[in-house]
Amino acid sequence: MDVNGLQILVVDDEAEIRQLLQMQLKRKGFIVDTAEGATSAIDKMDKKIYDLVICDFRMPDGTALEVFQGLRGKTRFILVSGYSEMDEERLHSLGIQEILVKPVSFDKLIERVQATLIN
Amino acid sequence: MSHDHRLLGRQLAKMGLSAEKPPQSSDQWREFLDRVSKAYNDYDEDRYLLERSLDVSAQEMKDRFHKINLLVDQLQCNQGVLSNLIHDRPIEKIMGDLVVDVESRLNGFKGAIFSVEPGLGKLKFLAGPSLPASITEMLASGQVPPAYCPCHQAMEQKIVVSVVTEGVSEKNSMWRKMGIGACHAFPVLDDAGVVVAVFALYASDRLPLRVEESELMSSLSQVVQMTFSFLEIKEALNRENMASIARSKLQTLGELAGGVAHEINNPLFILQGYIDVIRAAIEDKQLDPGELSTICESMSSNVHRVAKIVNTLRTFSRDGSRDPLEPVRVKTLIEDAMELSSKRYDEVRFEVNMSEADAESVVLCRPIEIVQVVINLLNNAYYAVKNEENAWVQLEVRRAGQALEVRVTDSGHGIDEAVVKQLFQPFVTTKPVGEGTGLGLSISKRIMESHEGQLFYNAKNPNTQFVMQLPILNQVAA
Repeated sequence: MDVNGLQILVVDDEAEIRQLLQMQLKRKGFIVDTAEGATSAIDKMDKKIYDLVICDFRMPDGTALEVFQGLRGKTRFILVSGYSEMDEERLHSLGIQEILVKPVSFDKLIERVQATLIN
Repeated sequence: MSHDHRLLGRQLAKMGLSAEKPPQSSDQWREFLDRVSKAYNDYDEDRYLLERSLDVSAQEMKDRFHKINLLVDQLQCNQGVLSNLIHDRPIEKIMGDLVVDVESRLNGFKGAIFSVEPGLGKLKFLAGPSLPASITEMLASGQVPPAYCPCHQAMEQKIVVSVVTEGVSEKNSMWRKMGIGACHAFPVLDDAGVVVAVFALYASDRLPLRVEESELMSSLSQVVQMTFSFLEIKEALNRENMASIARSKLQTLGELAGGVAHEINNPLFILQGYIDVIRAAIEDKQLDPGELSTICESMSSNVHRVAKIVNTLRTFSRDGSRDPLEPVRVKTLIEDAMELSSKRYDEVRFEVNMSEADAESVVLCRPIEIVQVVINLLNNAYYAVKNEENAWVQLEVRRAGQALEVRVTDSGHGIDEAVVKQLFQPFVTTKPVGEGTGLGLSISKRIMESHEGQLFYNAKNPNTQFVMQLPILNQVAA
C-alpha cells in the first residue's frame, strides 16, 4: 500500500520503545511523531489530525482510555499493552478494537498498522 | 415418779408397778426383768450399728482425703507444666521440671521420662535431671538392651514393670554397675490407649515401690499424658499456621503475576525491537559496528531489567518467616514492593510520596515479610477501586516520632463500620469466592506485630487508608 504522507503518533512512556517504533515506521515511509504521555499526546492530537495513534496502556499521567477519548476525525487507534487488568471484551465495549499485546514483533505490528489503515 | 424415763414410766404403768408398788409375784418380777433386758439389747444393737457406720464413714473420709491429696499433687505438677508451656519452653525442660517436682513427693527415687517414637517402638530419653551423668548418658545413648530394660517392657506390655536387683544375674550385675538398685517403669497411655511415654523411677538401694507411691505415679502419669497431647496440639496448630501463611503468600503471588507480566513484557518488546532492527540491517547489508555496539548495550540493560524483576519475585516467593531481623533502608523495601506491584495499575493512577530523608531511614526487619505487607495493602487498594472512575492509589512514607509510617490510601470512601470490626480476623473477605483467602490482613497484622510494629485501618481519613508502623533504627545501613 502507499503509505507516503500517512501520519502516525506513537505514545509510550518508555523512550526506547518510542525510538524503536519511530525508526521502524519511518523505514516503511510513514511520518511519525511521538508523545511520552497521555497529556502530550492529546496536545499533539489537538494540533494535527493523525491517521493513526499507536498507544501504550498505562503512562504516568494517564491511560490509553484518555488518549482514545481525545481522538478527532477519522483517526484510527491501536492499543499496545504489556498486560492489562481489563479484558479485551471490556476494551471492545469502550470502542477500542485493535489490541496488540507486548512483546509483539515489529513485522506483525507493521502488518496490523497497514490492515487498520486500509479498513 | 417424775424422774423416771418417760418410756420406762409407761412400761411400769402397763405392768401396774411403781416405786410404791413393787412386784409382788415372781412372774411379775420376771416380766419386769424381761422388759429391762430387751431395753439393754436394743441399746446394744443401736450402739453397734452406730459404731459400725462411724467406722465406714471414717474410712470413706480417709479414702476421699487420700484421693484429694493425689489430686492436689496432680494439680501442683500440672501448674508447673502449664507455666512452662505458657512460656513456650522446650519439652526437655518441661519434663525435667516435672521429674524434679515428682521426686519431691517420693522418698529416695530419681525419675526419668522417655518419649515413645511413634511407629518405631523406640524410646527417646527426654529428661532425668537428678540422675548422675553416667546413668543419663547410658540411657540417652540407647545402649541398654531392650530385654534388660524395664522401660522398654513397660512400653511393650503397657503395664508397670518393676525390677529390684536381687540375686545374681547378668542383667542385675549390669544395673548394679550403673549404681541402680531398683527401677520402676510406668507406661503413659493416651486416650486411645497408645503408649506415648514412659516415666521411670530409679533408686540406688533395692527400694520397692509402696502402694501410695504407685498410686501417686499413676495419677501423675496423667500430667505427662496431658503435656504430651498439649504439645501435639500446639505443633499441629503451628503447622496449620505456617500453611496458612504459605497459602496467603501464594494468593499474593498470584495477584502479582499480572503486574510482573507487564513489567517483563515491556523490556521484551524492546528486545524484540532491537532484534528486528538488526535483522533489517542484515537484510540491507548495512551493519555499522558503532551502532551495533550501542544496540547490544541497550539490549543488555533490558535483559538485566528482566533479570531484576525475576530475582525480586524469586526472593519474595521464598519463605522469609525464619529470617533474622536485619537493618534495611526504607527505599529498598518500597522499591522492591513497587517492582512487583505498581505497574499493573492500568487504569488506576498511582503515586508515591516519600522524602529523600525518609527513604534513607533504616528499619530492623525481615524484608521479605515487610514487602509482603506493603504489596498486600497495595493489592487490596487496587482491587477496591480498579473499576471506579478517576481511581487512584497513593503510597506515602513518613516519619512519626520514633516510628516509620507507610500509609496506603485509595480513592474509596472508607470501609463499612461492620466490616471494620472484623477486618483483621482471618478468613474475612469481601472478595468473591476464589479471589481472596481472607488471610491477607490478618497475616499482615501478625507480621507487623512480630516486628514490634503495627498495622491499622485509619477511619479518620476521608478516603480508605491503612497505616503500617515500624520502629526506626537510627543509623544508616552499610
